[in-house]
Amino acid sequence: MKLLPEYLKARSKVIFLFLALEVIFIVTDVLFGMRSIIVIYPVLLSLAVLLIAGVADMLLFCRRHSMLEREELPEAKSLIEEDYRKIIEKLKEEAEMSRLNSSSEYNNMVEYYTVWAHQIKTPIAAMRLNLQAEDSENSRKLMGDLNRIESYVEMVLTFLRLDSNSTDYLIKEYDLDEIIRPAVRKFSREFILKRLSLEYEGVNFKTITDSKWLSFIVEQVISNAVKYTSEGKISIYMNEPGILCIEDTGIGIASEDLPRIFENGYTGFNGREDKRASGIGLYLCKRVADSLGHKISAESSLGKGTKISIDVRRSDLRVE
Amino acid sequence: MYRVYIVEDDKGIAEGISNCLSAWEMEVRIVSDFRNVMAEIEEFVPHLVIMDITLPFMGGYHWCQEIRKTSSVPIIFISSATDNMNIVMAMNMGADDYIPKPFDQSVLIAKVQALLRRTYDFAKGSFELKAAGAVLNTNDNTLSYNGEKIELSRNEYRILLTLMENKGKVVSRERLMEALWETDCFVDENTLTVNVGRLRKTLESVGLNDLIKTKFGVGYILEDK
Repeated sequence: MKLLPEYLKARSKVIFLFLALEVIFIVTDVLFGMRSIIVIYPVLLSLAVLLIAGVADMLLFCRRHSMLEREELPEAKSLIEEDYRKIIEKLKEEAEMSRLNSSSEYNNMVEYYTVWAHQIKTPIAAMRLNLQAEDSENSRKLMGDLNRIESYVEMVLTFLRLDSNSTDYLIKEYDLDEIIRPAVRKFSREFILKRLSLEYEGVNFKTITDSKWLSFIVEQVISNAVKYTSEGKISIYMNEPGILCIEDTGIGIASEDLPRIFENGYTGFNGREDKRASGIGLYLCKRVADSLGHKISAESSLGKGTKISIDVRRSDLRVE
Repeated sequence: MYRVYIVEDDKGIAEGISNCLSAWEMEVRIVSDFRNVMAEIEEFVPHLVIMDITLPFMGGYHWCQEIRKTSSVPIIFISSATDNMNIVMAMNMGADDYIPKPFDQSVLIAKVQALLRRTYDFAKGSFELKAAGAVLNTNDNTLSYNGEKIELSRNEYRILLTLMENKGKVVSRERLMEALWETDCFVDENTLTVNVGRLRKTLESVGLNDLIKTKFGVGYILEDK
């Protein structure tokens, strides 16, 4: 029934013309001094005919409207409609073509970056093995840089996989400590080199997640904590069951930057100081967290440290 | 001596693996002709094969299947592809383990040793390190000296293992801490000092005095007198 005013609007010209003609009839009949019954009768009759024709026409109108709503084109009834139809079909075709082209370009790009990420892992592996054979200040520094390269490669892969349809999630119950420990181990050299201490005694919590993706988040957060802390400690703990906290005693985040740190490309004050920041790490963390059904948030006070909380509970997904 | 055959086209990695396995007294051979992997295996008769998946001419999966036609020698795949599909594929082709690149030396050695231990029940060295008459056994984390056998705590074992792997060389405090972190003991410098002190006391209890010497400001050294 919402369509009634719309229909009347579309047919307003015809209705107006009809009413105008009726008025002419009535006026001329009255001027000729005819009896009122002779005037009213044909008017009522023609109004009835109009109503029946109108209802039928409106049903047709509704059907065409609902067809168009489903993005189907009803048969053209006039030359003008036919013209519109042709234009629409042409546009549709062009849109489809450009979508196809851009998706194949995109796929090529993704494919190349994926190959690239795997290619670069081989020299990284070789350097890692050979650096480990040497016990010196220099090799440790190089190893730190190598770790950073490695984490950038991980970020590329994550970035590509996030939007890919073929992303393999393995959602099941994992012991959180089995995810945190290897992540911490990855940064052991940085911890030792910067003489940062680690407060972590295991969180003893099991949750339903994907270990590879959650590892990515945890590694990114620990990486940031280590990067922006020059003295003190990093604590990994769970005060409230299900909320994993990673807290550092680093430079902190300015309160005006805090609400935006999970945005793509946002580096804030710290990022502008430190040219290495890309503003993409935490953005990816947020995206991954969203797709896993986890929540990630940050608290910080400038100069005192930052606390990232990851809520790993999830009620919306079931084990496959 | 265990013989290990490495099929990897990246020289850096192949030599890196070779170096760290040699420290454990394993005989290592790196592939020389990628077309004749089978012939080289028949000639060398390795106890274990370490193989990359992407290789020139024929891929690792192919060689793995070829090897399985005649031999049940343990095969470890190393690859930069970390998706589950590749791991499943490797295992289905008859591999025994899978290490994603990049990996740490300690992970590689642990996996190689575990596989050798499971496959061959005869001792061939490679599970023990010797220095100054003391023998460190990796099977049961014990130290034998003059017919006496003592058990070491996890941290003591790890510290001694690292020192013995690098015997005759100064091992920095950082390297020792890294070794402990690898086994999830997230120690700081003070804890390391305490642990080394404890290890020295344990060693003294079997008469191994002054096995570990302090290099002031650098680290520790274990000399093979």
